[in-house]
Amino acid sequence: MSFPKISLFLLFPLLLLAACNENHAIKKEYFYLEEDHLTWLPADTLPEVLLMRDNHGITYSFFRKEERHDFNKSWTSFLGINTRMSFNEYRSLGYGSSFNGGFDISLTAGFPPYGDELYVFLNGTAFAWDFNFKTLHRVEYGDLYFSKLMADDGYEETEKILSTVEFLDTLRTSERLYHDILHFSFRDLPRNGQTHPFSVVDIYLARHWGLVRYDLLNGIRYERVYDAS
Amino acid sequence: MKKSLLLLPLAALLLMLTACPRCPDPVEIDNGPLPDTALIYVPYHNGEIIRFRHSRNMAVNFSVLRGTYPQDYSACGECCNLHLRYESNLTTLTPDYPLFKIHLEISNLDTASIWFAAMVGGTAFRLPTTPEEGEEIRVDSALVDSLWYHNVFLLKGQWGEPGEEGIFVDSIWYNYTNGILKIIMSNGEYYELSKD
Repeated sequence: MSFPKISLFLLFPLLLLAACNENHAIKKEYFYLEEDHLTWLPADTLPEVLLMRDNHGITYSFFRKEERHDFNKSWTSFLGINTRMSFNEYRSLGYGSSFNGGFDISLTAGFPPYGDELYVFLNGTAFAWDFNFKTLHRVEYGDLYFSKLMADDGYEETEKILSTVEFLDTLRTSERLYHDILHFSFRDLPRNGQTHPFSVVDIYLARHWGLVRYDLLNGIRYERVYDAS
Repeated sequence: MKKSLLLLPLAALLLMLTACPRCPDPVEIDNGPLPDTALIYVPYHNGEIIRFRHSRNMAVNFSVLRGTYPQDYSACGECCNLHLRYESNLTTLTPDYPLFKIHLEISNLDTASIWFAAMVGGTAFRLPTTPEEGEEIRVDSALVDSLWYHNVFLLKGQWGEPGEEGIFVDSIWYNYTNGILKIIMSNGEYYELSKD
């Protein structure tokens, strides 16, 4: 009878130690981004300054403010003990602009059953795309957001997201023909009634090139250019 | 003896509290209202629409919002030694196109000379309010959108947002009668005051 008592005494501080140390867990897992998905965020080849020109000939720019490449940590615990720690690879680029607004693009490695997530923010409109489920699971507009619930076996649609993502073979702009296009179309505006004519409603990303076009609600279209003058 | 021992920590605490220097009461200065004579540096009126034309011909209308507001300024280090009250006349030009806003501020923060500054798309400009200040940057006349304007200041942006690159507002042309006459971007594009 004395043996279990002693082992309980020993076990208790061990449990406490394990519970209090966020860097230790019974199981550690690392999740890396898929090579194919990295081509949507070519950090090494995207320029420091992205030049965009609108359909009235006015040139704008986004300048790179921030670049991150690390691992996001998350924990699973049982009775206060970290049973599992996940390290998800994360890459991001953040751009600012002297014309107000900004552009952020990031990739986060998914943990099963979820796939890698592409997140794009442009002048107040944002979306998150899961490559595995081929699902638009989050849409943001200013302070508002619409999202799907992450369940054990996938996403549950708690609210209807009207916005869409489609993949196009090509997109022609005034300067170039791009291949492999991700086109995000923001269609959740009318529900809140707080629309602004300068809202971004269409975003086009080209594989290897990043942002190549975006359109506003009032019809102004911006295309990537490679010469500021 | 026991009583005096008990008093020791209390005395130490009192000493510690009184040892720290106390801040003197701050000097209060009220610069009073902004004189009407200072308002002549900005010609814009509340509710007015000002039109600029981009070098590739797009016209952009800016609506004017202007007002005078009381301001407070405290000079604080370890202590706040100075508390200043003054007035600012703020003018904001908001475009009907997705561009930058224009902010102009006249204030009597310094009573020796009126403070006049502009912020255009993240670039700041210090505008002259005395003949000496304006002497080197003033030209007799400048041509803007086929019209000649007189006593024009050619102002280079003094500082932008830290680390700013890409395309930004590089310089402006300004006179007291018409306000901003021209905005020149770092890539050579420009916006001119349009009288259309």
